[in-house]
Amino acid sequence: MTPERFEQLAEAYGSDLRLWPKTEQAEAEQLRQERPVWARQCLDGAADLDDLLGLYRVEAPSTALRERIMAMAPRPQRSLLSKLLGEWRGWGMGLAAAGLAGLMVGIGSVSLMMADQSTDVTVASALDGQSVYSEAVAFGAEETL
Amino acid sequence: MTKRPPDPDTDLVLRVGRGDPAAVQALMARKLPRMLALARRMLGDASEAEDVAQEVMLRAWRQAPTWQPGTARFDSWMHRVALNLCYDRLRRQRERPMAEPPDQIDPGPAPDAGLMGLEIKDQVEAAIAKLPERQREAIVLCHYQELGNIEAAALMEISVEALESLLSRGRRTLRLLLNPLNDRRLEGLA
Repeated sequence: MTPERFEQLAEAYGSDLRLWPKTEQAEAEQLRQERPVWARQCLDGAADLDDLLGLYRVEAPSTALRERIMAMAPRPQRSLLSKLLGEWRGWGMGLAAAGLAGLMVGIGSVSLMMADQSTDVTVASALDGQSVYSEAVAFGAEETL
Repeated sequence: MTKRPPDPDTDLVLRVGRGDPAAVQALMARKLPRMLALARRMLGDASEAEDVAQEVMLRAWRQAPTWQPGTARFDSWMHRVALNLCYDRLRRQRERPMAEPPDQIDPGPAPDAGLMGLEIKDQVEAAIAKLPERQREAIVLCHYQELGNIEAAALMEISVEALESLLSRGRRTLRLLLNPLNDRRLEGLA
């Protein structure tokens, strides 16, 4: 590598040889070792600007930004088997829910029927009581009279 | 022909494509600060930079399930998306004054007032904002994003020689703008 090329690269890419073209880094390093004083002077000028550029730091992404992005991130994909199992589970849950609903309706109907019967008995008893009461009142009235 | 080095993001991107939550977190941690920094330095506006970074990440989520390893590096693809979004916004910024003239005079410093009176960090930021777009882009890609010259040139769709010319001119301009600052900084260190 010629000294002119070394200077050109320092002018373009700065003082950090790692940021120089990969294909020229080895030769540049060799020249730096061969002419250390000159190379140092050459790189120092570029390093001053690099130091200033390094002061321009960008803030870390805000929590709000990260949350917005995460809200739209891909969700885990389900395999075919788990999808089928999921569907079967869905059907099973549906059937179980339907069965449970049927059972509840059945229990409700039986309770209602039994309640109707007991109401009939109660009403009948009440009616019987009423007749007994009427008879008693009539009997009492007769006594009083 | 030299063999292309393997893409360090391939495994992560494939896992993101399958919806692996840990991979999603890891890719965001790895790429979001990078995309935000690129957009911030290209646009000089924190809010617009957030919008660009968010859009790049959302496109990455959409791209991951169909990503074909070996075609391009995922990081390069993200840079390409981010740069295109930045170009769109820079174009709109250029067109805006023609369509909507400002109602009042900008209270900021006059263009000839230079960079004095700002903090050193702000002065560096202002100096980079003053660079012509292509010079700024070259410096952002090579210096801040630390992309190789071939990759940066490919992203900018120019030759490596043209990239070097843009870098040299950009750094010369920055040195002129920031030299007084550097003197002050060195005095402070002494």
